[in-house]
Amino acid sequence: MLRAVRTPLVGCFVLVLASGALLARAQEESGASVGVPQPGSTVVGESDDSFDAEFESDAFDTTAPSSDGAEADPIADGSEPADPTLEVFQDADTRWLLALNYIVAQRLEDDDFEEVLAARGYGGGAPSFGGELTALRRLTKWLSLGARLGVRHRHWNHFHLTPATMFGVDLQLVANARWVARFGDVGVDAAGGLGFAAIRLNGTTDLHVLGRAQAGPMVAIHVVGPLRAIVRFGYDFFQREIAGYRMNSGGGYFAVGFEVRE
Amino acid sequence: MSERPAKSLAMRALLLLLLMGLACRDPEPPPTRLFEDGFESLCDGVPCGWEQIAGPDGGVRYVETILAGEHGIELSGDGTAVRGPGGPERTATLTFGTIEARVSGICDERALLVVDAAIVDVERGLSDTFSGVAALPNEFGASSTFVQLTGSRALLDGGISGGPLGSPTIQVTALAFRVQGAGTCTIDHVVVDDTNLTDTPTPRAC
Repeated sequence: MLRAVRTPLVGCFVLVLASGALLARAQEESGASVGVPQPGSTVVGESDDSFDAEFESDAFDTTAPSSDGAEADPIADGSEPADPTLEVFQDADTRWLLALNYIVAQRLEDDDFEEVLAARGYGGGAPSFGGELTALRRLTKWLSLGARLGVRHRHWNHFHLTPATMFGVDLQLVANARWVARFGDVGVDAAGGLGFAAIRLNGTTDLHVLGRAQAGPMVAIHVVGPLRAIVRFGYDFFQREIAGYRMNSGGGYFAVGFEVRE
Repeated sequence: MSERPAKSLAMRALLLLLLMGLACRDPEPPPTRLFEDGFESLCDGVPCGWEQIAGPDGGVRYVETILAGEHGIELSGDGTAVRGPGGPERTATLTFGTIEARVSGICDERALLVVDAAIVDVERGLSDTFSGVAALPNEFGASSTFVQLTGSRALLDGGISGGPLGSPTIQVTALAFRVQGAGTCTIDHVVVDDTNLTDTPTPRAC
């Protein structure tokens, strides 16, 4: 089973890396073709009555604070050109990000608790899987902070008994840094928090509090309108000593889902 | 770069996840074992089919082991013993001259656990008791203790043996545990099967 899970995970990992590299390269070439101006420079042909002037006059002005003392929008850092063809890189309209995704974490070999169960007739644990709901507030052009509510499940089959299960719920604080690209976003995601795991064995449930942390790169791809497909992968820490044995339900993870931006 | 390759990538990722789900649909039949019990089914407050056959009153208790949902039988005192059911519907071919018990349990330092299995040769109608002594650890661990059970009678005396003289089909008609020494033993899970078969593959994850 481990091999069956590892192969698709590795395949997805390679696919995401390769596509990210290709898209980033294409992005660079695209930027070069339209002549990305340097910070502080002026695009040739720009005039006050152009579309850019209108864009710069709204809430996401990329210039310095206005003379009346109003603060500049932190998301617009002023380094981006006013060229409307590159407006996508500014993505100045986005304030909130709401994501819902499926996540599967690799089964780990160094799981003492699993060996304890194996000595009692249970099989190897399934990869843990679950879902996550993430709400992010975009603070600057690059950085968003927020919270992530996650649930996860794992089970160990038995030939004659009801499978043993682990159900976890956790709440994490999330830091998300992104590079806005033409196809979507590329970035890194890190989160940490607390949760509980309910271990159910032979009809009896034990509750355990444990920490969770996860970190890794992510890609968000335009689908339609404000909807984007998101792919995240990385390492997920979710373990605790239970009955004297370490239960390790984290490991490498792969998450796929959708994101809505407001 | 257009959006098409990116969407194609997302579709491939989703397809791989679906394939993972399909891979989990392959069921796995349980192995045929001579005997297996985890003491989780209760009949009148005791594990079904088990009874105390020796030792003082209160010498046998039904206890929790590693977690609240995991149980076992605790035997206290020298000679305290329990006898349980056999596995009449389960037969196996005796490949070697011994059978094997895989025991998950503990004994304190003053006690050993004697395992007795009543064996019947289904084809010849012979019966014998196969016995072994298990030196269980002091604490519940992540591994089990393997015990070789050998017959009490030689082949020429009507005993049961495998190997070059044949491979009889056998059954376990009863299993018993007895404490040897003034201590306490707790048995959480036991499997009895032909040698090297007690550790057959466990069920797959999905």
